[in-house]
Amino acid sequence: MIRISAAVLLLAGLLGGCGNPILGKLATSAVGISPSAPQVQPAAGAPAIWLTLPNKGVKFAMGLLESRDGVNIYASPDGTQVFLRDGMIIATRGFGPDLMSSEAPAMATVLSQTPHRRVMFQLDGTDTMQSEVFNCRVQPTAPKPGAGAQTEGASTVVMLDEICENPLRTIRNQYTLGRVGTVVKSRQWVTKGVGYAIVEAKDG
Amino acid sequence: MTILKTFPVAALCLASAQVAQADIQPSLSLTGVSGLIDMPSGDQQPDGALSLSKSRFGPIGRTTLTFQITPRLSGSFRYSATHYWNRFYSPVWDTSSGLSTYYDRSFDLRYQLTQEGLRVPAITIGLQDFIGTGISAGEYIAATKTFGGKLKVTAGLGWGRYGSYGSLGSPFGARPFVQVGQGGNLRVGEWFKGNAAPFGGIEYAVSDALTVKAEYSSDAYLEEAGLRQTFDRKSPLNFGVEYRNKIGARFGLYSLYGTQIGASVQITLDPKNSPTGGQIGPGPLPVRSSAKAQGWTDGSVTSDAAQLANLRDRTQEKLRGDGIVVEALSISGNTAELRIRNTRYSDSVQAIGRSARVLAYTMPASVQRFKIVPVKQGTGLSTVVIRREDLEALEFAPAQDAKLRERVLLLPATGRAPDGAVIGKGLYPQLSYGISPYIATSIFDPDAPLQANLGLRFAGRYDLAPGLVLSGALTKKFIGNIEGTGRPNDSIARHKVRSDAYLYLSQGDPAIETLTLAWYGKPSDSLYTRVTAGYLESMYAGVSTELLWQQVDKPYALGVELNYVRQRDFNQLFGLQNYGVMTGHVSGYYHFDNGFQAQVDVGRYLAGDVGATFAVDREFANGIKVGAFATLTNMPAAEFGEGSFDKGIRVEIPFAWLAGRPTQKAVSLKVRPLLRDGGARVDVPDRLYETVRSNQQSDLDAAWGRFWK
Repeated sequence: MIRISAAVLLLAGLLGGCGNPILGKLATSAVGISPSAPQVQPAAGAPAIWLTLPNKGVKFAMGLLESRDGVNIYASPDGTQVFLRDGMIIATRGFGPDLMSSEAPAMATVLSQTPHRRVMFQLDGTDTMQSEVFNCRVQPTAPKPGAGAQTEGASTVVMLDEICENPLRTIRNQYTLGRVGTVVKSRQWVTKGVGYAIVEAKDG
Repeated sequence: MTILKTFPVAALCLASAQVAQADIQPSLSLTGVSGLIDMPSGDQQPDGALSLSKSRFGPIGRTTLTFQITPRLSGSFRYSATHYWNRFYSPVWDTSSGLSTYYDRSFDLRYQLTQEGLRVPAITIGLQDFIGTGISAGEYIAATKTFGGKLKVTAGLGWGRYGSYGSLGSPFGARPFVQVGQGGNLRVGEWFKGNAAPFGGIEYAVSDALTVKAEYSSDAYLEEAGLRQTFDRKSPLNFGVEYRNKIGARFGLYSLYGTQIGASVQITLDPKNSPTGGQIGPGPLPVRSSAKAQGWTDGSVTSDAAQLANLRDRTQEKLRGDGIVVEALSISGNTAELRIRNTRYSDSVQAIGRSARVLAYTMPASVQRFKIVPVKQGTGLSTVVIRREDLEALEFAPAQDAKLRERVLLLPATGRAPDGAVIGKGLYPQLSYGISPYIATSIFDPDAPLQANLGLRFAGRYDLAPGLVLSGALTKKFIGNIEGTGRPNDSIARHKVRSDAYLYLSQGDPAIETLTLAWYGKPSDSLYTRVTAGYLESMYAGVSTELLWQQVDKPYALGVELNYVRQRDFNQLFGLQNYGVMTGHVSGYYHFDNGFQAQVDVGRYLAGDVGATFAVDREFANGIKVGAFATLTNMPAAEFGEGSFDKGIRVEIPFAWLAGRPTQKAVSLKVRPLLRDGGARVDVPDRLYETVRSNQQSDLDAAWGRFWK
């Protein structure tokens, strides 16, 4: 004879955690999961970016929340965050399989097409930090028609591919640089669970 | 492309499910262990995987829970039902007869001798039904080799059940008859004895989702197909096809023994791959540099109570979104001590991390050191000391978690807030309450293997002062079938201290589950105390006292518990029965570095028997726990009854891991093959070790990666 105080909730959780939004809502409310609210929001009129997650087919705006030590933290209205240094994604929060931290190259390293190393840190399912090391090289690529070049004028746009490899996977980050050498658009690997993210300036 | 105004959480769920399907896992046999169709293989599941399988072919149904204890060792608990058990003896079926279906519980252990390499196959040695009554007992050694990534070939040699068809002889001598008595004993003498027979088969992955299998079975089903003729076994060849869906569930359809159709469902939870990939929701407050910190305009520190209260309120306001309650705040010199009650996160580390960020936001620049004290039951459990400059320096650093942990101090905490602290607003006294659904089940009754009641639980808690809590829970059943089967309790124990549990479940409606007044104290840095009085659990009321010695930086602890309890009336209202007993235990706890947790309790149990309980759990930093326990007392096996001694397995899975949202709720399951009267303990709520341990160094270090989450 045993008592299973939450077996039904396990079932609801298994069914509802993902895949069935209605059951998911029931499950989370049944176990008293209160929706979290962001503690701070980007100020009105703060610089903003578009973030696209191609694997999920979504695009949403994020406003500048905080800048410190050369890192800009952008946040969505729901409170998810992306950390950019020189336009390079160095961390995310609230995405689930987040990039917790990374040893990422300076943009100058990418611009000079210098081979470099990337280390990306992520929590696994047991909440144990795992690192993944890549060896990277950079090569210029020709801009594709309609690939964001119009806003800067085709003659001034530089596109670079950063190709990073390890025995498990190869990732290809792409950067579109404007006239002054700043990243105006990029497609960067986040984690295996999130896939690539496309970051571009939001001009209102 | 969809452009959204808010963050697409559902889309993240979808992506995470795709991640979870990436790894191809070894499949399970109908017996629920890594294997072919009805035969085991040399494979093991991923380390830490928890598998649940349900299968049926012909008259035989099995439900099996398997845990991969270490990369090479796995254990299984199985509940089997063989229908038409009395077909041979009872020509006229009588399904109401108690033995028309034979139910059996069994445990398996498997150890992988070699892991698969380029030339070496995976070789596993296994014991099936090694501690039960032995109906399904069998031993085997099985080797499995993968070819080309898609084809697996298995060959093995079996004894006992697995040596009953196509025998090659008895290489290690005859299989002796072992007197099983009340069951529950290791039958070491018969292991690998008697006839040995070969078995084998192949498994071919047609695609990532589809697998076909074929095997030669060495199980003659002597009892089921022979003696009792519950089915007709015409061939040793079995065939099957299995489909694995995107979330990893596997469905199988089989042809067995030339006459039978079988089916199975297998679900495997891998703790290393959460269903959502991680916690989804708002990110933390960015670390604000001292220069920009909010606070008093002159940057000085004062002990003025009004200013401190104002600072507390601002801190509480920022922490509210994270479900963190400010128990107390004090400032001394350049150090702020914040005592927090975490009501949302499943681990303390994330709550500590979020609190540190808020302090960086609200504290004046002159405060350079944060002491964060997690509090439970009004009692401080540890002190995490963080330098503000480290927070600022490491927020964007690679491997920030490890670097910060090197710089953080972990110290003991005082039980109560220091003099001069401002206490959290409106905390004492404070009333809180809630309503939630509950399900109570009764399983393994031979006449009705699964019975359940469903209803609502009303729970309330009144915090009178720090550490002084009045709490209770009331249940009201709405639907259910736990009514008892009419069979009298067959226990011959001198006191029926647990075997009457079904009477409580069937008669308690409404029921007062608990109603207690508890006092928690901390007389020194490492000593914790508890006194709980009232209706302690559904079957017992009384007084429980406990003392725990736990140093914050040590992996071990010692505890003493002494209780006097009286058995409650079956209706679970206020009445008591005549039986009363003094029980108590001395307990030792040890947390091993590899995630294993051991506990030994020595003392006197509810029936007055004296003995010890041994428990081992494997615990993951995400809160998933899987363990087993056994209690040996001086109650004779004959008095204990079937099973000989109390034993079982337990599983706890945090909802945060399942749902990807922060919550402290967890699914917990404790399964005993038989609930008898020997080795039974009173179930006191909020025992000290479980209250304290999550904020000691072992647990904090294990989950430290979540500090910056």
